Amino acid sequence: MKTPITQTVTLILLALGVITLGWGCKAASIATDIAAESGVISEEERDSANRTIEAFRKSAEEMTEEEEYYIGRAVAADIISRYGVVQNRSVTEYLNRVGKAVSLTSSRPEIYNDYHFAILDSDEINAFAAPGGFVFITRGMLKLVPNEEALSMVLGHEIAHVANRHGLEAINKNRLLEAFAVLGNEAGKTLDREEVVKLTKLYEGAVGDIVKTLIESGYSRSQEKDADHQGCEFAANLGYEAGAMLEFLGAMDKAAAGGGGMFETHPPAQDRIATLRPIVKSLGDRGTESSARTTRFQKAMASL
Amino acid sequence: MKRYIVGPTLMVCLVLMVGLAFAADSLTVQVQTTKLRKDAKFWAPVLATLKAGDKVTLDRAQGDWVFVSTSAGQSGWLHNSAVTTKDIQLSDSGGTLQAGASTDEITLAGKGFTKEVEDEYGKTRGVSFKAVEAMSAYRVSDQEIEAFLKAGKLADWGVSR
Repeated sequence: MKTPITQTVTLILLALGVITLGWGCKAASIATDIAAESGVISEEERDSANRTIEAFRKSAEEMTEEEEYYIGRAVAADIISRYGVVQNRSVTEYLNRVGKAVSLTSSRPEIYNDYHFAILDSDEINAFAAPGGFVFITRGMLKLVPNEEALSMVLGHEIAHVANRHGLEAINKNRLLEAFAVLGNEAGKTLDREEVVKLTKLYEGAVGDIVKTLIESGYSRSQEKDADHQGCEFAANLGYEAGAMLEFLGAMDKAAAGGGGMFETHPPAQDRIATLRPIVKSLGDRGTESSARTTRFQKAMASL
Repeated sequence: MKRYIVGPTLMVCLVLMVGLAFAADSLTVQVQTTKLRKDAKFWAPVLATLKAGDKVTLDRAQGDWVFVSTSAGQSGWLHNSAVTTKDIQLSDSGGTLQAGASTDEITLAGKGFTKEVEDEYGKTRGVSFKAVEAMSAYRVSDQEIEAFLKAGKLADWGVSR
């Protein structure tokens, strides 16, 4: 039977372990070593605790910015191979300016290789974001967007998926653990040919998991709700009127009869409106008026 | 009896958390490049460009921004999403890591799902990254962003309704 003092020490060590997860695992391992040496936990319990700490470290959350970027590049290559990219410099430039501006007021403005935006050559109504900041919007979706305000919210929604690393969360966890096992923890270790081949297969699987989620199964309702909320917030922080997203979702609702695309992977527009309405209200009337925004939006879209 | 233990324990944990939070004054750049700015905003003048793996010393934080000093002796603001408290080890040649570091606190950049794996994937699966390269190559400059925000009356140039 453990004494109150022992329980207190155990609690402190446990807290230390949890706290230090965000700072790397070494300190957590030290904490469990001390606990084992002082007899608070057995050697067996110590090893088990360390394995758990290792497992936590090897989650999608702990992937490096560089790894996220390289997974995102392969997801982007897959999406582009399916749809093709519209080669229209003026619209692409405008899209990148709006997107980049919104990213600056997001929760994660700086990512490994910045945010990039492209138009997919499809009449389907859809938008995707690959990890690492590759954001796509279809020509069909762009044609439905009525103004720069709504465009800023649509791009804000996709930026929120990137900022929250939702794409990486779609990767099968066992696949990820297997990949980290191949990599090990030694900085100086060089991968041999067999390991590179194995890692490439796991990479291919991870890319497949994300593409399947983006195109077929969709993110969870909670992830979509967060993206809607944050997308409006990022755009409103910049000075756009958040109410524009409600109007746009109304237009989406009417277009939903056509089916396909975003309507297969996102909650119904009416549900999104109902969830967003109080959020838009809480964001208040931060928006600013500008006829220049209307003019530049119309000018850019005229060539689409 | 339990409540007499839980209270002090939580206090000790809180003290430990605060202590750890202030202990880390060294930050590492985790994005390919970032800009050290004169003020805590993205449209502030650029003082220097830093790259992944560069170390900076934290002076103070203000919202999402940190005021830091570089090894070259320059001081300015970085957005906190550009830096990490983890130590990032990078190689200066070909993306392979320098030997030596082996602790768990180190983020093993240059290892994992990287260019080497992408090359193998592209080769075995016949995937082309040409269109992705073209997409990545397009960048919006600081000047473009500032002009865009000014013209659209956004951010600091907005006029409240």
